[in-house]
Amino acid sequence: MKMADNKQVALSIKNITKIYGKKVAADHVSFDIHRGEIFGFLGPNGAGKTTVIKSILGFIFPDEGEVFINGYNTKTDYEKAMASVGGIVENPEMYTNLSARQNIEMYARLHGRITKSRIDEVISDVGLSARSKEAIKKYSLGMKQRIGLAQAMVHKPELLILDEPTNGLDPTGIHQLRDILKKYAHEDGAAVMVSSHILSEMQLLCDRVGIISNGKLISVCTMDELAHQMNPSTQYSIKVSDAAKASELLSDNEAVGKAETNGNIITAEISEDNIASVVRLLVTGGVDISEVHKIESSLEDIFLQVTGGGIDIE
Amino acid sequence: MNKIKALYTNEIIKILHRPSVFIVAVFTLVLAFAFPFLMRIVFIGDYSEVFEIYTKEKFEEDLAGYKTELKNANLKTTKETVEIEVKGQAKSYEMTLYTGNDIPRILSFTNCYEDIISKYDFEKYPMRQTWISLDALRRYRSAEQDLINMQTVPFEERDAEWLSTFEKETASRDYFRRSLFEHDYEYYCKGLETNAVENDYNDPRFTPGIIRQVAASDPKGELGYMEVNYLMQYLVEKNENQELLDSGLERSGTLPRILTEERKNILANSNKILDYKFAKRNTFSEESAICITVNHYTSQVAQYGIIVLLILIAGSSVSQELATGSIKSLIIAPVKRWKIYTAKLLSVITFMLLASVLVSIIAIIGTGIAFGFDKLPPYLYVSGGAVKEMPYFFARILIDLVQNISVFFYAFVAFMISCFTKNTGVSVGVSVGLLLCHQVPALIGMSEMPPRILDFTPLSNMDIVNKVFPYIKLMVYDAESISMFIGEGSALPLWHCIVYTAVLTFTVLFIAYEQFTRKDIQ
Repeated sequence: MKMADNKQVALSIKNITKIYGKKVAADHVSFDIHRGEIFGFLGPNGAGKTTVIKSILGFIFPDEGEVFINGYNTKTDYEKAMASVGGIVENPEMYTNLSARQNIEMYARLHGRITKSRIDEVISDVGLSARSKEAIKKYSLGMKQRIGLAQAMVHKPELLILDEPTNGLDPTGIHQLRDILKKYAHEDGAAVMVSSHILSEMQLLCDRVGIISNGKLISVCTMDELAHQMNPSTQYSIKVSDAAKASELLSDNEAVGKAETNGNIITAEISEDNIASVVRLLVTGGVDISEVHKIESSLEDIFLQVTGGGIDIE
Repeated sequence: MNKIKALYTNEIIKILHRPSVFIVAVFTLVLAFAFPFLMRIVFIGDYSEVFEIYTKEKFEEDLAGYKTELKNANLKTTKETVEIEVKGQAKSYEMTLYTGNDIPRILSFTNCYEDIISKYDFEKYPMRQTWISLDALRRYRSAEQDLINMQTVPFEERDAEWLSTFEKETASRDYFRRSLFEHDYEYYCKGLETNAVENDYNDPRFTPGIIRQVAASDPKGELGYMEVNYLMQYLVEKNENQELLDSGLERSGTLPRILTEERKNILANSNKILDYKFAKRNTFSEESAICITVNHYTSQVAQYGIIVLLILIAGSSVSQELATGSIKSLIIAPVKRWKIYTAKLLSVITFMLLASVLVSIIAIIGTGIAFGFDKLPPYLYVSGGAVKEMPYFFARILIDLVQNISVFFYAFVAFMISCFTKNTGVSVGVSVGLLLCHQVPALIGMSEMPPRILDFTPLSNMDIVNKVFPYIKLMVYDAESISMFIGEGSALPLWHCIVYTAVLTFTVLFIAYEQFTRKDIQ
């Protein structure tokens, strides 16, 4: 049964719940992913990212909830739903006795109607044309990641799900991957879902992010919204000629929150709307200002705040 | 259907690319091909056996030898008139007493050979490899030897009973002599009927009645020695079958068992086949028997290779993918789990059939090259009341397939276990363990125990070669050696064995299916 068509939604998951014994690995997780966006699925190790991804891809049977891909329910229209999905879960494990090309050919055979030239194209896209006839067992982890990506994209899926895709990639590889995924989502119009516990990656790559912790989806929002939502007040550092006088002037001001003095630099919580009046107040009060600097709150700070730790900061 | 076909193709590619599978497969095929050549070396003595042909010159040469022996034997001949009371009346007989070393043997050969050299018509009845030439000569010599042996008994110990035996044996000797001199079966039979001294040459199964039936199909005494032996064997077997049919009972272990309709039918058809073989003089040489035995052995030995190969393929089919994680690319593909399962099962079944058939073919080719293809007899069976021939080649392939049913079952068990565990070692190990356990009851002799416990143990019911090919033992004369490794099989009827096997297999595959299609893959 196909869900009411919403052309923008590539993946819709509703109330996915999976319980292992007493541990709730996924607790009523629901979200949508749209075409043309890269969705980051963020959480510390063991938060339930892989459980949710495995539920989407048919590895595990959730105790509750439904998954719709392109409007098809995976419970009732499994093959139709899965036809437009490509993915890598954890590491891209392949048949190590076979060559990269043979692996992709076998996978392509299960999709049908994939030409040899398309296979050549994806192999060349990930830069492995020269070594595509070598057995996978001779490949490094990074090469395996790339060939896994080629396999996941060979049938041009409308939804691409990558679980920790940067594992084993060198900085150049990560950069290339980012380019490939951005092009794939923003130019080719596919939906891309990337899970990671590495924030910096998500910041560079994703349009939207879902944060999961202890099996629960805590928040789904754009990167900007996230920063804004979690920290409406902004910090400014102000370099002044007389720190003691300046803090005295600011201590009575309602527009200024918590303030700290370090040498002749004052760091204070001041909203963007009030910064001009604060500067005016200091200048008229006889304090010279040599520098005003806005301190952006990083995603790490937000994340630590939200999940209570467990994120790798790189 | 297309998805299953694609999955199936992938499975075959995966299996063919596994080094362990490749090594075991090559080893098994080489074994199947080379084993007959090893056997050829073992059997070479028997295989080249040729019966000695007696020409007049050969007799003269041998006679000279016996005469020399006789000189050294201290032969003393004493003649005397002996009185013996026969039916209350004393009568006088001229009698001879021989004393000396090994006299019966040396003197009988000397007497016979002198007789043959002086009186036998070598032109009219040339001595050849015919049964009548060879066996009548043997009988004539042995009867003569018996008579001389009797004449080494001291005069005073000779009584009416001795006299009666001596007279009968003399008549018997004369019949055998005439049978030899005229190549005549009838005198041979009369010789048997008057034979009075028991000795090793007497095979009680080859009665005059049976020999007369052979004589009717060989009036000129031209059939070869082994040929007549086979024909007599057919008649003996036919009579034995008929006796079972008449009594309605047969032996099972140590107990008699009532013949089932199935068994009665098989016995009646066996007799039709024996008649057919008899009428067509469908006999096979000793070489045939050796050849088919070797082929049986080869299949049996190669079966171990097949067991290892199939358990390796089936036992790792799922578990290996779980262990390495390669199953992920299957699960992510747009194919339902039951299709993956079906394709995997089909690929395992393909390799079962392929391994069995390929090994059979290679074994036949090996045996054929080592012993000669013409030595392999057809399988005879009864269809629509008439006897039909199936070429050995096809029969062998089918027989091996049926014989491998239990092997296939082990592979299915390995397949089932492989759906449960990530550890290929466990699935292969447990299956091999089961295989060994299965042989324990047979090893400790449970098959001889009444009631037949084995009839109700799961795996013994898969031994159905004897039921599907009930006339396999009629392929050659040497039925004993073949039954040795085909075994008697279950006493229960064929349909029971088939249902039993089918239910067991279905259960195993169903458990595997449930496990594979319903379990989470981590």
